[in-house]
Amino acid sequence: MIVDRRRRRGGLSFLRLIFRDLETKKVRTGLTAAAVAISVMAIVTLTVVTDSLQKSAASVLQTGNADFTVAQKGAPDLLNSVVTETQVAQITSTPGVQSAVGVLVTTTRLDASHPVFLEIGVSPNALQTFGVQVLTGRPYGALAPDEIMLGWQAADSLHKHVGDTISFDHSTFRVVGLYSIKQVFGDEASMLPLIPLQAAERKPGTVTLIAVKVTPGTSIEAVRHRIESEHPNLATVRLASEYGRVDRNITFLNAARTGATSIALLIGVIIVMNTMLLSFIERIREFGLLRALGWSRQRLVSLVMGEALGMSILGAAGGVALAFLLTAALAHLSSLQGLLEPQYSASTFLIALYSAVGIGLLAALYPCLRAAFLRPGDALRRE
Amino acid sequence: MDETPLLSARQVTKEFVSGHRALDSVDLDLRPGEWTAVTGPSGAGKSTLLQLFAALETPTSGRVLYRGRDLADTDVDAYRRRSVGIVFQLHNLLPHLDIRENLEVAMYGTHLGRRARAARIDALIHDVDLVEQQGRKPPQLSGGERQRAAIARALVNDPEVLLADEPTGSLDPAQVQRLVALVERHMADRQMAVLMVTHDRDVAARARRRVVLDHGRLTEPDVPVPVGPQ
Repeated sequence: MIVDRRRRRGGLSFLRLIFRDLETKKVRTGLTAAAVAISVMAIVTLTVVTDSLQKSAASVLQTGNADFTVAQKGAPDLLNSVVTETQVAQITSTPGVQSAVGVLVTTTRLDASHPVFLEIGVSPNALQTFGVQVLTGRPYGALAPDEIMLGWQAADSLHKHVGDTISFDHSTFRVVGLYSIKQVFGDEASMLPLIPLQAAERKPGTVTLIAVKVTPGTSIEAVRHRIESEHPNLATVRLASEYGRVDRNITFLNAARTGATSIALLIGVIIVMNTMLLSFIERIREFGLLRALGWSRQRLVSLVMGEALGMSILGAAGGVALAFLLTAALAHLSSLQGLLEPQYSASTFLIALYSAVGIGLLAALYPCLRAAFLRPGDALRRE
Repeated sequence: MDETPLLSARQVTKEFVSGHRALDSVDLDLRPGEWTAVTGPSGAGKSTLLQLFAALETPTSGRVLYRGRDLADTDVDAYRRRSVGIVFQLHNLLPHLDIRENLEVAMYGTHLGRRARAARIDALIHDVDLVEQQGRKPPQLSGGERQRAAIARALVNDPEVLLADEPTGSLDPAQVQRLVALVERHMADRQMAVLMVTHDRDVAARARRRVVLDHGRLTEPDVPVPVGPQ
């Protein structure tokens, strides 16, 4: 009966043989897949964490309704970017620029739940241009050192309303209004008048970045090119992937990710290759027999590669699951709260799959070479 | 009977890396439809001779010819798959596959469709009386059942030559008779040549030709003997 059922299914196909081999050697399959999974976990976690940190950092640049942002080129950290108000005025008068808002950005620690709280200094007459909508209350005064507006999400999480006070950096501020800027990072921040914030931060006459909006119908790229040509010490950023131009920390972070990913990949390849090589030696008679039965080198290599691929795919699935758990745990660390918000996309799963398949195929190369050049007579003599 | 040799050994010598000379200047022809029995003491080179004809080993000197062509110049994968069937002394079945699957694996790379393969496997499993056991794996079988499965696998691709190393060692007399009848039927139907290493005098007696190997040399002349009931 069992045989009849199998016959109806079409017998033992090559693919089914691969599954059968993997299923039969459960421990070998499990250990190899675990090695792949650990490498994939390291790679995916690093990718998700660095992407998330990069996105969180880049969202500072995306606050407001600008077409692009201008900051100091090659600054070690965006918050250390220094752009003079003279440059703001020059950029404002650049042909094709509709508006240019100078913004001072700094951070402070409020409490354990708000380890990185963003303070954005903007002149009150530039709020509307910057894309700020006052929801309740009023804008702060241009020179009022003790007035603050809170983003509606920040007010919600801090349980603050118009008229309440909030204290940080040895100062107490009165909440005069709540705003929305239709961007999560901005709505979780605060806004203060530019001049008092410049004074408090000891940065008179400078801003961190300029939010630029171009005149409708003008080429954004052309305006960016013009600004960069006229101001060699400034860089323009439109996409999160360009953020490294104004924050070298991101460049270092990406370099560290590349290095760590390569090491994880290499370790994975070595462990899996070792396991597969041991398995090859254990199965040398089996491979010799298959060659004796007329299996071509290509078919035998396909079997070894197929098994490696099968274990890789298992490892990829396990690796993604482990990475999911690890990043969730990391996101709960107090030092990363508010900064690390892991997001999984299709590319995350593709990275996992590519990494796992890469590990499996690279690790299978040497066993495949051994299998290809196996002499069946020698193999069958092995005890 | 066609007298053109299907397989020939010409002055074949085989020396292993250890220096042991397993075969020494052996000349032997296997003709279509002809059964050749090889006997001799242990270590005489009988299995090595089979492996050379199966293209599992290459001669140190001399040549092995298939239809007049040196095996060294032949696509040995296709030769092993289509032209020869091998019964190993230790059966060499894949332990994680059942009997039916062991036969299927030997048919990979042949140009038969699934139905034709299934039909051929059905027929052979019936011939070797393993219908009930076909779904079992080798460790679940007796020595005789494994032996019969190995014989079925060797015949599954309708080989031109059957190379068998002690194929009846684990079989009872009734099973031996059934095996011999099966082999003889293949010989008659398909002009299959048989080279069988055996210590069984009764089985050897069924061969048209009997040769003796001793210390790597054929010590009895390669002379056909009359076929008939002993």
